[in-house]
Parts: sequence; structure tokens; C-alpha cells
Amino acid sequence: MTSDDVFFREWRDRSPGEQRSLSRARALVAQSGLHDVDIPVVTFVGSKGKGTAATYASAYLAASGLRVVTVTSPSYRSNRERIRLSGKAITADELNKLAAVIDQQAGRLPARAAHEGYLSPVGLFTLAGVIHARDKDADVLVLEAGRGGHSDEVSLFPPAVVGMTSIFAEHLGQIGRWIDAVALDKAGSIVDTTRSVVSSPQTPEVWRTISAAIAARTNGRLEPAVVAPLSSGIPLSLLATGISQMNSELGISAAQRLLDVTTHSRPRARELIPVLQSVSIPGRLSWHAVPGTSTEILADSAINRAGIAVAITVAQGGWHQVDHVLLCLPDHKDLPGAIVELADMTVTFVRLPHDHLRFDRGLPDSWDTVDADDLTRDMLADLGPRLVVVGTVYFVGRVLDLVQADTECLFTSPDGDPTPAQPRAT
Amino acid sequence: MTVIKAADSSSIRTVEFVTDARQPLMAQVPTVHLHSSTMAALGLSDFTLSTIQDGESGRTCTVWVVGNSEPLWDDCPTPWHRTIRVSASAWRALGTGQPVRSGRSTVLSYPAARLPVKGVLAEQLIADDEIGLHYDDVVRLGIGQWVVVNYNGVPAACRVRRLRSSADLGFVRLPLYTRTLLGIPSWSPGLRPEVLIAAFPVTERGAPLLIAPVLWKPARAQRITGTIGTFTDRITTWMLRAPSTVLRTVEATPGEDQGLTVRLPAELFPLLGTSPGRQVYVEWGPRNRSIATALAMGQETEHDLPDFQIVGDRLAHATALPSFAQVRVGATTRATLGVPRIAVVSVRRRVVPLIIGRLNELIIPVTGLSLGIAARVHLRLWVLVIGIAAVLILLLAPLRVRRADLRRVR
Repeated sequence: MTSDDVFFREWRDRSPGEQRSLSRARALVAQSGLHDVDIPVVTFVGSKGKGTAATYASAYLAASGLRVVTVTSPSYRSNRERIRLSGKAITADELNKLAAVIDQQAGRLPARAAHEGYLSPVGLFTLAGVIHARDKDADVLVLEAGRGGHSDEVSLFPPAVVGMTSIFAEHLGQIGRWIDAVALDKAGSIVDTTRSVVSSPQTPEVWRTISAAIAARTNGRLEPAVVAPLSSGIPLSLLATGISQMNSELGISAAQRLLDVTTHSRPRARELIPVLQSVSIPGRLSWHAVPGTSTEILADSAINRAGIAVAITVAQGGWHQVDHVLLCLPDHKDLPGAIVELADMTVTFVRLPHDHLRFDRGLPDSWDTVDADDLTRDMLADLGPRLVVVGTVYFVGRVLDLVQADTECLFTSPDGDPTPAQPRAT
Repeated sequence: MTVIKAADSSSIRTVEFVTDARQPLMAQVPTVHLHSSTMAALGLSDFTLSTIQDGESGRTCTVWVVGNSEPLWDDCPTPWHRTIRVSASAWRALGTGQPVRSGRSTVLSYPAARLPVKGVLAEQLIADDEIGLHYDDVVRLGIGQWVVVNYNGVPAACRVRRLRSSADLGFVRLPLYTRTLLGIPSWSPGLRPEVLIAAFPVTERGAPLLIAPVLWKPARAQRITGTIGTFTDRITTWMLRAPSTVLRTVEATPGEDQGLTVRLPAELFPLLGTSPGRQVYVEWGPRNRSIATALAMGQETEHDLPDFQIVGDRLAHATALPSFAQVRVGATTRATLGVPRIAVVSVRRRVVPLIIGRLNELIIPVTGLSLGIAARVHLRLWVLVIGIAAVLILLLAPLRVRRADLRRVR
């Protein structure tokens, strides 16, 4: 049995309409002795940008000399990337050992019928990350919520600090029917022992909901603090590009709050600057070379019109010209927006061979269509020297795998190995 | 023709857009809107002072660039990354003589130079409305006497103090108060925030450019009286002095948006040498000022403002500021100056009305005294002139603001 079987088994075997079970995950936490793990936790919730925030928070904390375990989802090239120690993905052996522990403990749980649901893969990776943090004597645990807050497995680990990225109407019907319900669920990750909450600017509606929820959950002790753009004082050149800038600043602010409440000192500039300069998040406006060719790609996991607009603007800023766009958007994503945004560009639409994703919507006649399995390096090179790759994380992950992008290391910790330099358009 | 002088071409970037004129964009001051995603990708702050050039006529004007993601963008038929919305006021300032229409090619030139911030050394004596720049940076960025600084959407026009020390090369020196006004947070050693910096826009002849140009030509009589007024103002200001203070603008008190009034912190009036109800100049940049009646600010706080003033992502647009650094400025005054809702402006008293007011207050006793003396005593002309001058000096002496000097009072 591979490690993937352990993490995905119950999800794969789920019945139609069956939901993930938080109570089953809670039982597994208790079974594994994780309920009293004494590691400060920073949790990120929100609709988009949690991964960027978690990465920058981890980088900032690592620059402070702390051992940081980071759990994010999804992965690009390997599930090892979901759990990282000081920015570096765990090894296959470590993942196998974690899977063995999870498998052993999960085997002692009552049958799934008792909990009316399955253990979600994202939740199991979160648990594995906590086990890894405990085993490695980590100083800090940075968790990215998979979906929601109160309804997510991250709520099983009381956070000292919570960072909230922008919350908008997503997963309606799964988390709640209205944006208020979504916001309420996200704020549900905060508990009475939480020391600080920082948030990206929210719409007034969401802000009112989360403020009231936080006040209720902490008896009025806590108020969320808005992280305004550039309020951290970190130079712009050290933050993420594009829309992610706000999320990177949120991550740094959350990390600063954690250092304050745990009475650690903040990193000095000479340690922090190289760490932040080394941050490279694959698939987030990341530049790569196609091995053995002169083709360069800009990869971004944009799934709506705004994200695609950013990717095209950044690419044109770097190259002055874009030769070709590779796009992969299933039917439930913002395909109409993408069609307008890419109106004057040469586009190849890529279909993924996943049963749960539909690719039946009409496309412009001028677009070519290929299956993801047909993508090769030579094919990428034939499309031109400057390619923009946008679409779902799974698709971008495939392309990153194709070009053998480095996804092992998100940043260089002060005592870590240097991150291989990424090709960068100027 | 408008140009932003820049010896270093990398400090100014240009992007070509097409206009979207499906709905008129109404803005008091020349403004263009880009989609928020484009703003983020270009690394632009709100209210970055830029120029646009109409592709057909080649005409240019100065505009504020603002990002938003209003629902109107959802139906935009052209790609967001290539679309610009030009306000009616900006289109008027371009002066093409044609109505704005969609699909018109427009080139946006925006400043891109960012410099890390340093504090001011005591011996540098950089004033609150000044910044310190190394001489080489001044030349490299093509900066004249004035510069526009922007941090997180708060623009300020400052005079430039040229510095020679090599320690200042590649940095901008900002006094603590200016940093407070711009909302620049404190920093760890070696990790400095960066401000966007650009030369103040000038005409081809090098004259400072008005962002909100007067669209009508004044009559000959108006030009003459204007010149006389300016000359009188300079003379009287030189005689009686008019210290200025730098403040950040906030929304006008409800009901005063159209009035030519500003509300200042009450404790500032003695420092400015004026009193509530008197006129002041509100200035932003060189030769760009508006006259307003100064009133004292109440004790209200931000919490007293109605909720609807906090809209969407503007919630965290600018950091909160202590009340002593704020001035409430109405829309009419902002439109005259051509500045956005949040900006750093200078305020100083207007001297001529003060003199007139003073003379007006004492006209009856002085005239009576003069007539009485004239009727009783036969005076020589020179004695009369000296007497009148002495009376005038005594009358106006209380209006003169004492200059702060470095001598210790004995």
C-alpha cells in the first residue's frame, strides 16, 4: 500500500452524497495523542491566497530562527509538498512513515458508519503535518485550511494566531448558502485561546460577520486587525507579485503577531532579507525554463478573469510579448471571463482526464484543443519561446512536472540549503 | 504637451490601453480607472500621478490612476489588462474636442521609481513639506524643485532638498511628521519601506503643470486683477509672514462638501496666525492653491462618521491618523486643486483679508483721531505721512508672525 492509498482511501471509497466527517477526524486526533500537542499554531483561512500567506509566514518565522512545519494544499508535483519543514518538502520516507502511523491509528477507529462520513485527504495531511511537527520538535506549526474554518480539520488544533485572507462567495452550498455563512465558518477557526487575528481588507458585509463571530467566540476579548497594503513596512520588492502581495503581507503580519505573543524576537534584516528574497512559490506567477529548449513559461494557477489578467500583464511586463497561452479551465470555472481576457491572444485549451471535471463548454473557433496527456516538452517548445500557462492547480502541476520545476523548497531558511535559482524574465 | 521629466527611462513606464466608454466616468479631478488586477500586476498604488496620451490626437494630460473592480468591469468587452476608463474631467483636460468613445488607443505613462526611506538627521533641517534626495538621484530621476511622493495611495507634493552625502545615495529622507502623514510604518534596521517617487509634472517650458487646468480663458480685467492680487499677496506675506503647516486631507464635514471651507484642528490657528472664519490658502504643489474659509474642527472621531463612507477595499486604504494632522477639505476645494480625497496638502493663512479686516475694525477710531488731529493741529506733510505709517505699523504689528530663530531668549 502506498502512502497515497492511506490518505485518499476513505475519500475514494465514499458513497454518493457522503460528506467528510470532522468527528471522525477528531477521534483520530485523540487516538493519535495529538490533542495536547504544545506547539504554537498559526492558521490561515479564507477564500484565496492562503497558501501564499502560509508560505510567507513560514519564511518569516524561519528567518527568526524557528523550526517551522508548514501544511498546505494542494500539491503540485508530489504529495510530499503538502508538509514542509522550514520550507523544504518532506522526503518520501518521511511521508511513508507518517502514512504508516495514520494507517495504524485510523485502523483502530470505529467503522465509518459510526461517524457518518469519511476522513478527508486534506484533513489527513493536516494530521500528518502535526505528527511531523511533534516528531521533529518544531517550534511553530503553520496550517492552511483546506476549505472553511470551523468545518475544516484545522479547527482541531487551537491556533494562537489566525490570518484571514479575502473571503468571498465560494463553495456556496458546501460550507453555507450565503456569504455570511461562509464567513461565519471561516471565523469558526478562532477559539477562546487565540491571541490575535489579522485579516486582509474584507467587504463590509463579511467584516461585520467575522467581527461579530470573533467577539462572540472570545467574549469580546479579540478584534480582528486589518492588514492594510504596505502596512508591514516590508519593502515591496520582498513581497509577492500581483494580487498575492496582499496575502504575503498578511502572512508576515500573522508571523509577527505570533512572535509577539510567544515573546520571540523578530528577525533581523540581515537574516530576513535573504529568506524573503528566496521565496519562490511554484504556480504563482512563477517563471520556468523548458529543459532542453529556449522556451520560457510563466505559470499561474489563475482560475478567473482577474487572475488571468494579472498573469498576462506580468508576462507582458517581463517579455513585452506573449507568444502563446495554455489554458485549462473546467466548466465550473470562469471560462467566459477567460475567453474575453484572452480575446486577442493565441490560445491552446487543455483538457484534463479527470472524471469529476467537465470540459463541455463551447470554445472560440480560433483556439486549439489538446488533452493534458498529450503535452510534451517538444510540444511546449513548438508553441513559441514565451508561454503563459494558466489554469487549475492540477493542470499547472502537470506542466511544472513536465518542465521539472523545483517545487521542493519554497524558501531558503537561514540554516538550509540554497534554493536553485529560477529563470526569471527581466 | 505634458511631460514627466525623467533622465532615467526606467523610472517611467508606459503601457498601451484602449478606452472603455460604455458609461461615463464622473470624477472631479482628471482620473483614469484600471481594473484592480491590472493595478496589482503593474505594482501601482491608487492615486499615482501619471500621464495619458491620446493615440489619435497625440494630446496628453496629467491624471490620477485608480484601481477598482466595480460590477461594470464584469461586462467589459475588451480584456481588462488592456482596458482603461477615462473620466470626463480627464477627457476635457486632454482637449481633443471630441467625445470619448470606446476602443480609442491611449498610452499611460506612470512612475515606477521606488526609493527606501530614511529618517532625517537633525543637522539636515529638512522641513515637513520637504524631502531629502541625493544630488545624483535628483539628476537620475529628472527631478526639479518639486517631487511627488506616494505611499499606499497617499500622494504628497514636496520640495526637494538636495543632499551631498554618499550615505543618502539611493534613499529618500523624510521627516517623521511626513512619514506619519503618508502612513509609513516604522521599520526594523536595514528593512526600509519604499515610497514611489516621481518628478512633478511640468510643461515643455518647465513650468509646473496644474492637474485640474482652468478650462476657460480669463478676461483681460480678470488677469490684471489677478496679477495685482498675487503681487499684493506676495508683498503682504513677506511683510507679515504666513507660516504653513502640512496636513492630510479627509472628507469634509457632512454638509460642507460644496462650501469653500476647510476644517482645521483648533490648536493650529495660533500657529498659523489666523482665527476661525478667516481665509486660508490650501496648496498642493507649486503654484497650485485654493482659497477657503478656515473653521475649527469639532471633536468628532472617525467612529462618528456614517458607515456608508467605508466602502469595500477603501476600508484599509490609508492608515488612521491623529486628529491634529488632519484637515477636512470639501469636494469643491479638492477639485480646484486637482487632488484626490486623501492627499497631503499645505495650509497657510491669507494675509490680505486679515489686513483689510484689521483696518476695517479700526477705521472709525483711526479716522476720527486723524480728523481731530488735522482739524486742531497744522501738520507738515512728511509728519503726516510718518504718522500714518506709524499708525499702520502699530495696527498691523499684531498680525505679524514672529519667526522662529535659533537664538535663546534672554
